Amino acid sequence: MTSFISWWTSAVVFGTVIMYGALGEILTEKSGHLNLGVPGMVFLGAFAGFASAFLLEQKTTNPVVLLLIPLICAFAAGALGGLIYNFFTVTLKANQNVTGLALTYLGVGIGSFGGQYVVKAAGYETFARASATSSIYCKSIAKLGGLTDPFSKMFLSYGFLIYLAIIVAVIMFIILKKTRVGLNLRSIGESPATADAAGINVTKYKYLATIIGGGISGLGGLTYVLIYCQGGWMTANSIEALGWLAVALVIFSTWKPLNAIWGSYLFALLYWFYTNANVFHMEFNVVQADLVQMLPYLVTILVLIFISLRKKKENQPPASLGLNYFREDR
Amino acid sequence: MNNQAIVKEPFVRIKRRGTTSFLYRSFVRIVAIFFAMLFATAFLEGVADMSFSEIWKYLIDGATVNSTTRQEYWKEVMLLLLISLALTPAFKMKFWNIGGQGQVLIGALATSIVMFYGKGMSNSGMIITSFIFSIVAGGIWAAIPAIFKVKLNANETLFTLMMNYIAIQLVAASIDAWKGKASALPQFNTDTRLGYLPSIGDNTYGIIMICVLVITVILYLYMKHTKHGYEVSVVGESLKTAKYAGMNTTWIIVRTVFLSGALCGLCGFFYVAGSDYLISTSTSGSYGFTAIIVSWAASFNPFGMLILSIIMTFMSKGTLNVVNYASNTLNQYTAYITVGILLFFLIGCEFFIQYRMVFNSKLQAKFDSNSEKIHKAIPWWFSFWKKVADGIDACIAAVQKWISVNLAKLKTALIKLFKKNAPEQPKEEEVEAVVKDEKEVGIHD
Repeated sequence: MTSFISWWTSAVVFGTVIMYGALGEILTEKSGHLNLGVPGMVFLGAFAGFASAFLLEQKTTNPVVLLLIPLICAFAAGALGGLIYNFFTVTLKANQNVTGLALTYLGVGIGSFGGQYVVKAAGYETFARASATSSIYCKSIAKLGGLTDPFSKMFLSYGFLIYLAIIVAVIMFIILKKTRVGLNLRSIGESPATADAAGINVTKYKYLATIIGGGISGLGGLTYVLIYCQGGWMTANSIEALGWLAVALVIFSTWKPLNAIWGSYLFALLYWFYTNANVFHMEFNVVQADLVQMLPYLVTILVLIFISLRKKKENQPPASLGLNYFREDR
Repeated sequence: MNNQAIVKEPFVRIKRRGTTSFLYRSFVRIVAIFFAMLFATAFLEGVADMSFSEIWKYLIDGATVNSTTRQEYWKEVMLLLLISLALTPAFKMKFWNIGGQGQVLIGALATSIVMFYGKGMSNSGMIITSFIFSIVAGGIWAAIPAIFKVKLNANETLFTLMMNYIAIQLVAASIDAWKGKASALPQFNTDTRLGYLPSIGDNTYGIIMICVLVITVILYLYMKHTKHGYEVSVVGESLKTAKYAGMNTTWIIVRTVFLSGALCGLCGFFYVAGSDYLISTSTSGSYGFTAIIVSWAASFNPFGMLILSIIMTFMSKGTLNVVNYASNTLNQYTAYITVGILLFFLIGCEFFIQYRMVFNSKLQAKFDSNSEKIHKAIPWWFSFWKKVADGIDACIAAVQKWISVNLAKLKTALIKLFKKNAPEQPKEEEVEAVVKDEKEVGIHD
């Protein structure tokens, strides 16, 4: 049981990173834009969150400032990535796949470069930690109340960002399904020309969806740095892999925010299966562990095939996904 | 009342351009690259604390300072070009193969397997075996998503992307299996140099360069002047048209994607047998993604890709050199930023090729009067440029005509040579007629 709890807790934190990325991408894709720049935006968010926390810590110890500023910075950095993407695809009508990949490239570059630059400029050799901010972000109900029973460990021992992700998912579900704004957004994703004819401001909706979506993705980076890495800056490629998993999760959840919640935890459990196989009394050597790490990707492929096999109407992507809208083409 | 007064005229409006001249397209791209370079240099000046001339000295040194750097530089150019070429046929068909990285890795893995287990083979035997293995492996790796795409319409973008990570894990597993207790996998066959591609003169990568340049020309001809290439562009334009014209679209798509993967596999072969003599999970680095943008920004023209590869690699190699000489706060990811700037400028400039901006009448009148003033001041300027542009366009048209005429001659000669009683060959005109009909029908809908 204890080994399962440790597997579960690490998976929830890890899964939240993927969930933020996927939620942002769902919002973007609902407006008809396939943004392959998610890894870049997550990276930008991670960098902005880390850099602001790290630099602020040397000036102040005010917990409110340390809590709010990195949050805003990470959101803004992700949103900036979304803005760049949208400027190119909506205003300049560039190809969406190409722009997204370029954004990933640039985002990974800026994040990795900037993170190391900040660390080195502060006088550290290769590694630095924003520990004070991280400890604020990691504060949990279980820790504050001194609860140690399995239930509190499994569900109450996380920082607020983990719960915020679930709240964001629920809010997105309500907005998309129950409000006029959501209806407008979905109609743009299905057929922008029809929405335009109905008097909806297509460009405005597309911009807002992508920018807010980018911001939400950016929060994934913040979660990664401040909670998962406990404030330490790593240039490991794992953020990029996480970003791609987020894109995969969008398909896995069939563009529904609520499915993204359990989907992300499932992905994370699969991701960390190779180090926690003892839960099932299994043991892997190095080579087997390498092969077991394929699991989340294999599952995504299987889901992809399964969705295309079933062809259910409500599980399909927005009809105009990936196609740019130009009013005069009608 | 005047209706015009009620309708509010927007400040600027976007309109699609028709066909544009080669000169105009090149001009826009050159301007974009120029500004991207300026921007990147400004960025480097800021972070590296160097002057403009120093930056450019190190940038150029990065590609040309001695024969080893030159060889390395051209090798990188060729490998980036090869992946871009590989992805092109699939892209032209609107099949978004973003799994280039995985296909390269699988090709590299196939080569490594031959080099690791085939110790008893002869040198040439090993090279040929690994060549074939890598091509087939890369092709099959790409064909799997293609088959699911045509049979079930599964999203190929994500499928190929996931295949990247599966390939990475396969490579990681093989490395862990082969290295045993050592901390890292050593180069293959270092004592016997078995399976290494020979060098030409003192150029270690001579064979790679020649092969890739030959492939560039062949792919250009394949895309422009063969039935296969024609089928690919019809499928890319409209799948339905291709079906109505009686094409076997399933076979065309799988075949073309197999070719795409096979060329990526070949790139993996070059990495292992021609350059690194080693495999790692980062063998192809981020080239899988850069190549996509190179291919697209060159509008799928192989020679354009050659030029863009040269520029991209110059930027990344040069930036790494700047980083080496700068103070120690910089790191290798600086190259990602400068190349990323270049990528975004190339993507952005495409707008000016496909669309024109129409300003509102007040503004347009202002522009017109200004250009009239310039016209009066220096009248020869415009006529001079128009003559130059017309001349270059005429030259290009002539060269294109020459190529197609001679190819047609060559084709008929070959047909005569091989099949004395060859059946009536070209059905392309018929297909073209069908395509035209379809388009007209589409317009009337």
